[in-house]
Amino acid sequence: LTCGPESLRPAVATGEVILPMGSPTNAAADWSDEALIYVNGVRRLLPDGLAHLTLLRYLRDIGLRGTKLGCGEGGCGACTVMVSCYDQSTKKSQHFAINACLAPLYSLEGMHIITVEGIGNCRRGLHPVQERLAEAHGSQCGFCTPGFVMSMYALLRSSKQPPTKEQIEDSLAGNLCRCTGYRPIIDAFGVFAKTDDSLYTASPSESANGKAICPSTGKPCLCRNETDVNGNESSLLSSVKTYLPSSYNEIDGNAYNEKELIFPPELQLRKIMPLRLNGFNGVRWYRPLKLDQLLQLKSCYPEAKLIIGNSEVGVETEFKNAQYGVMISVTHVPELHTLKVEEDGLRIGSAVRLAQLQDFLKKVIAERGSLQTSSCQAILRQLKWFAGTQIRNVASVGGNICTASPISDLNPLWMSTGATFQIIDVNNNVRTTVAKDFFLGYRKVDLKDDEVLLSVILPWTRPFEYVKEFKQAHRRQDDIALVNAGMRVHITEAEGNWIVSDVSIVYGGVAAVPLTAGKTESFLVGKKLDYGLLDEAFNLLKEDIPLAENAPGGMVEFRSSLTLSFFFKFFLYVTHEMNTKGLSEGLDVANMSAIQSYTRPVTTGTQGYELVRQGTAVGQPMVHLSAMLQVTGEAEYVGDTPTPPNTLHAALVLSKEAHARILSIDDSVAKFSPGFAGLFLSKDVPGANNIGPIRFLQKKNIGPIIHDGEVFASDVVTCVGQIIGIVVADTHDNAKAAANKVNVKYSELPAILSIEEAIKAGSFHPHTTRCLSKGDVELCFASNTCDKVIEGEVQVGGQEHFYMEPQCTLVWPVDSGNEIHMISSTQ
Amino acid sequence: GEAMYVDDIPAPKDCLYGAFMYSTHPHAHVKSVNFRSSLASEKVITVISAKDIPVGGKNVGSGFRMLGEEALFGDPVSEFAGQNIGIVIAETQKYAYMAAKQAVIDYSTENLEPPILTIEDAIQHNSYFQTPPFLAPRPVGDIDQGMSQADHKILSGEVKLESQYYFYMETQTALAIPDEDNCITVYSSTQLPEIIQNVVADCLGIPYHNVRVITRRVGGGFGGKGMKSTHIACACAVAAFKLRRPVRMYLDRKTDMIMAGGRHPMKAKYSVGFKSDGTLTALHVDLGINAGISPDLSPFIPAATIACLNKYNWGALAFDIKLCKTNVSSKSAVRAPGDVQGSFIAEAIIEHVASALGADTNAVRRKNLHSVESLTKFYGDAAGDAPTYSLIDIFDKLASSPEYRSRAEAVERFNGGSRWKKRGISCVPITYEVALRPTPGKVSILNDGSIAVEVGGVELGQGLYTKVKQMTAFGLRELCPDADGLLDKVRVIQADTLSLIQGSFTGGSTTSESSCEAVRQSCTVLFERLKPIKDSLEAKSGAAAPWSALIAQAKMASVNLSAHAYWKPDPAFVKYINYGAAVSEVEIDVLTGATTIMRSDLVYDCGQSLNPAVDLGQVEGAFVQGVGFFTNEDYATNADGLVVNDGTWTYKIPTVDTIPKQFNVELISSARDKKRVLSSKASGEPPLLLAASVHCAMREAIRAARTDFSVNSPLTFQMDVPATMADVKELCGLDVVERHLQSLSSAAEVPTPVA
Repeated sequence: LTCGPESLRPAVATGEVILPMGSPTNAAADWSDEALIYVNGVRRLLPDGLAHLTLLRYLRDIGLRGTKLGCGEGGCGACTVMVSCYDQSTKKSQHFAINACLAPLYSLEGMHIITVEGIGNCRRGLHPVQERLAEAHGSQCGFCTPGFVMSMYALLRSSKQPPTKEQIEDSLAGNLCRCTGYRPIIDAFGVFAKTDDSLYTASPSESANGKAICPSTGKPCLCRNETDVNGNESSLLSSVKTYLPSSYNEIDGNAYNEKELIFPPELQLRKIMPLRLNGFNGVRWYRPLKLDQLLQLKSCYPEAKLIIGNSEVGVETEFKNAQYGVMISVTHVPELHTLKVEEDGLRIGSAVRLAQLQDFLKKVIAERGSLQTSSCQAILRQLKWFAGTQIRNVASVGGNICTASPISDLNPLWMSTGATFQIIDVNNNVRTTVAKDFFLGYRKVDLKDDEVLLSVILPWTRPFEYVKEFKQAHRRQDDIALVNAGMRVHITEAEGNWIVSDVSIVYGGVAAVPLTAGKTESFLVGKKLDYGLLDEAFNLLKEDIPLAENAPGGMVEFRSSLTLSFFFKFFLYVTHEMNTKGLSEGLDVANMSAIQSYTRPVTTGTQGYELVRQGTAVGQPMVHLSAMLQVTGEAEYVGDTPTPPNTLHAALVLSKEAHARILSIDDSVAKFSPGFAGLFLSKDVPGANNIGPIRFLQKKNIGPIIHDGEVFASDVVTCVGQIIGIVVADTHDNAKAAANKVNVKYSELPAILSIEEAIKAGSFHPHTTRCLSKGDVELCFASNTCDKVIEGEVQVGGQEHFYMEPQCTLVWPVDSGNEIHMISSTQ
Repeated sequence: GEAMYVDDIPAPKDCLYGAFMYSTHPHAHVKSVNFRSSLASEKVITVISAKDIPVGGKNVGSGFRMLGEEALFGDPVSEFAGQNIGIVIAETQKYAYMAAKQAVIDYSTENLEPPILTIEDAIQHNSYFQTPPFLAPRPVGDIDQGMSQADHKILSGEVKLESQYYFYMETQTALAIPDEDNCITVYSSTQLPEIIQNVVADCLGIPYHNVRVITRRVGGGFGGKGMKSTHIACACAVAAFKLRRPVRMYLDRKTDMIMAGGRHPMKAKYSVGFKSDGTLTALHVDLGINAGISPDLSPFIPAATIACLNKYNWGALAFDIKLCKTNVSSKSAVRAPGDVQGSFIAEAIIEHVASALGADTNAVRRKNLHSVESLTKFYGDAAGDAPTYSLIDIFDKLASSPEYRSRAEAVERFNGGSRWKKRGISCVPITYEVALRPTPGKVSILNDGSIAVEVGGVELGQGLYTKVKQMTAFGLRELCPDADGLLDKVRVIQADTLSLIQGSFTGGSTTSESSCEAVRQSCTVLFERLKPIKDSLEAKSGAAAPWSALIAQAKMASVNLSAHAYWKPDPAFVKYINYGAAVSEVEIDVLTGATTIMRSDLVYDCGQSLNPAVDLGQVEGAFVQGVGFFTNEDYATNADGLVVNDGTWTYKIPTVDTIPKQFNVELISSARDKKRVLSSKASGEPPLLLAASVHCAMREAIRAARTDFSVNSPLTFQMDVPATMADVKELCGLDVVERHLQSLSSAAEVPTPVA
């Protein structure tokens, strides 16, 4: 590493830089720019210059298009791949599923990536996971399918024993599917679970009335009947039939040979090197191997971002236009990966991945018993609902802390559990701060530019110390909290009374930083916990956790009431815990319902249908035509079409106003954006800019269907998100970057946004009024013939389609535009 | 330059390129293929060979239904020089070419018979292809009786014709893109997408519906983008299928010329009987045809040859045709395949007869042109109705006119006053039988009233799509008040074997008209569907319904706006004959053998031309291509049958300077015949035969020279095809200058009367 002259460094803070050790030239020799990965068993030496690339883009660029881009923000799992790395300490390889859309390419250095193409295909034979999913009808549109396959595959490869059905369902939390409703997917993968084998090996059990019992549901069904009621010849339901081993090769008929790609020996034996690599736009990627190196880098580049899973930074750069010059991947700094049981608690390295933390906590809880581990248990329970598997597999403890999201699920817990943070500066000075004091403001933490969060120390809990986590989100799995909280209370005996000696109540999601309910805490200390406290506590909580009417996130009243509910639950929980020790007044059964934790058994269900075969095929539950191609990632969608050289990529320029006149569209900045090839607006449309839903005729205002749309808004925008133009550039990323630089000036016009406003303003689509009037309604109401008249109102919201494959089109002109060819994902 | 040919299609991502490695040995085991160490050979990604043909597929590179197949790879034995034995695959076309040149092929002829290379070799070894009975030409009359009626006989006359290369400007090319689920799309520059689809599928062992062949336009076909285009399509497909990446090939000219095969060389021996007045009484022809290694389309050649030979009433006709199987690249259809040879052989015999009688050749021609009766005798049903037999009128117009007579006299005068330059003039009539084939067509009217048309035929530059477009406008004219505007709404779209099936092939001159007829039938269906809507609209509004309103209304009424027709010719009218004649006047340089075409006058019966501009283009283009065949194109091979004139530096097709200095063409129309498509006739191939007039005129000029310079048998000689400058000089006498000097000196010494 050399700090060198300032002009050569992309992002160097002002001020003198002092290298703590070694001469610059010697140190420089240690850094390597050789990045090696394996993809599906194939060695791939990565060139320098790709630091800006995600794994997903790289995979798709090298032709592995089975891995899909569904959201680009780690939210849908369509890009799931399995990563294997070798743990030098345990001498074992580890396998886990990750979201390729967020993983920086170089973060995989030294690892083996297995994509859906790597486990099976229609020519060589399907992997049993793929085959099961196809034959159990678990793939409809197929866009999410490779992600599901890889999540399941990673689970199988990372489990020493067959996973349980619960584990299988949990492992799919990070995968969205919009078609199937999940049932057939879980059904398909259920085969791989450790189950009661007798259901499948024993002869089908007969129920009392002689009907066969279905092994998948445990209920009588037709599936094993020899003949059905209509006397048609029987056939097994496919979901039963395919329990037979039948993976085979379409070409030569061979059975799937169970050959898995092994971990490449080269990666096991290879000496790991610190990395220094570059990317587009001056991006630098460092991967130190030692804390020293990290600190040295941090002193050179105080503004550098430390990266582990890239789950925050990736989204910031992809969607929020953030640009970071220097990124330091700390995945290989051992000091940041500590996981130790110590006298005063657990020491958790800041770079420890959440999935690792889960495993570690489980182990600790099992070893230490529940008494000392109330905090651990709370954190473990909270982690179950923290994002999805793929994110937990890469996201780190420290990343979540330092990014300081106001809705972090863990930060309120660190605060309430009394955790402390160890922080090291570039001069190797270590200081400790309590978690409670760490969060200063919106995404602002008590960490200077020359400091790095080293570890978290989570103290053990004492006897009669209770910790409880809370989180409420729209959806349980893989969702961010509306409100979350961490609460801890320590109860001690004083003069024969069990009173609160220490309490900590911290809410997340209610302000720019997690809020401590200080007044409530003070009020509770020294008091005996009983119902009498609640009224006052609620009043104080309202003061402690004020939610302004216009607080970000909305739903103020609901969230306000949630904060109280959480506390009430906590109160009941502690009461109940004390009660089990006979130390408190009893909790009546009715109140128990407040603290029963959410449990979800394995999904069960039945699917019934009769088979009536007509001819040879009609009526048969034939497997989806494309299923085999979809489960192997071989099915080609529009975005998978290989694009010819010189293909340009377009990004939309969208209206930010609901109703406004476009005053100017300024592309003076966008024009100089890298790769910019053109901005196309309504004036550039050679044919008619106005389009109707169906165009019978080219002329305007003719024909039975209204022509009221525009390709590009020409003069006035009429909704937020209306297309004003497209920016075309050499790459997708460059097009997006350039589109963001197009400056549109508006003059706002009054907007009508709701049904009420439209009715008030008399704003209706022309010629669309439809009235139905049968009899005289007014007369009927007026004539007292109704016994009762009630008035009411009900509203129905809209819905997003949420197809997994985003809108996508490829167009190329032929014969100089005399003919246009278009591949479109369209109905 | 905006028109997009196959190689102009932007290369898909990860596209690979192939180049053929061809055998240079006519019959040998290929023992090994190695690459000389070079920069280029490092660029080889892989070599695709017979072992890469998928299980279930087969080693087939081309094949015509019922006639037989040709292998894609010479494996394990290479059977002719120029046979593909492997495809070098590289990242760019250039690397592929370069690397293929670095291949060192190790041959062994152990346990192999020596190759059969010539017609003579084949006859000696009885190496023949059989002509299936339904393709066999039929003899006419009783040859013995005919011979017995003759006053004179010429026995064992002989004439030879060599091969000709297509010289399409766009060499063979294809782009194969593998698709999901064992499917493949092949962009091919081909005249027969359907056959490519079938052969590629057979080769890969996949169902036909997995293969989509797309042909937008072809950069010159002339028959060469027929059977010969399937090899390259198969080669790309096998490589793409194996490598799962797009593969494209675009042959360099040399490889193309070496592998193409070209026109069938022929050797005709004839015995002809005739009366003193020039009336022919009998002809017997022994015809050897060199077909090369595979049957290809060769079994069609004998009938085509005889059909065009039959332009004269031979009295009785008998023949013995041997379709020789030899170890040379397979000969395939080249524009007017067999026809041009047959027509020429007839002229060679007529010339021979005329010179034997010392008669005017044109007079002998005129005398032996068919009557309607004899035409029917020789052609059967194809002869058609009497009013359609226009040949005699055409011939008379050209050769029996006062103008012709004065020109002939002018030539004679010229020759009398010019020692070293001689002129000749000749008129050649042609008959050309064509067959109609079933052809599909589909017309679809889109929501905005624009029309998409698909046809079985492929656009080779012959204007097929143009005629189809015109025919569509014709077919729908009664529905559209503004009929001219209708033409602009029509677009003929590229051939796609999965969109329109049974496309068959484009060749034999009739694909344009049959495609037109299929489209017309489709239009008729649409007319029936749309007429009631038009009537009701007009009844409502009282005015003619605009086309757009009609279509909008039809759409609302859920009328099926797409119609497909599979047109089949009337079994009683499958064939008809085309007529034409040409007068050419040439001047030869006796000292060098160089020929200049002074003037050509072509008259061609095109029926009611569907598009005179297009037909004229066909007539002129074919004529000039024929001039190349007859005069200058020498598709020479070495002793192993490997093409040695393999580029533009050695193989010379006509240039701007070659064509007649004055070039007059007249399209005439014989009587209307509703059996033909709107009374039209074919124009693609027949006019090529007219170029024989140049050859015949050259003979006349040579004859004048020979007479002047006292060459032996000045009148009776045969001139083979091509008649190159060297041949002309040789026939004029290589020693003309010596002879002249000798005659000068002997004249100075002792004037000796010439015997």
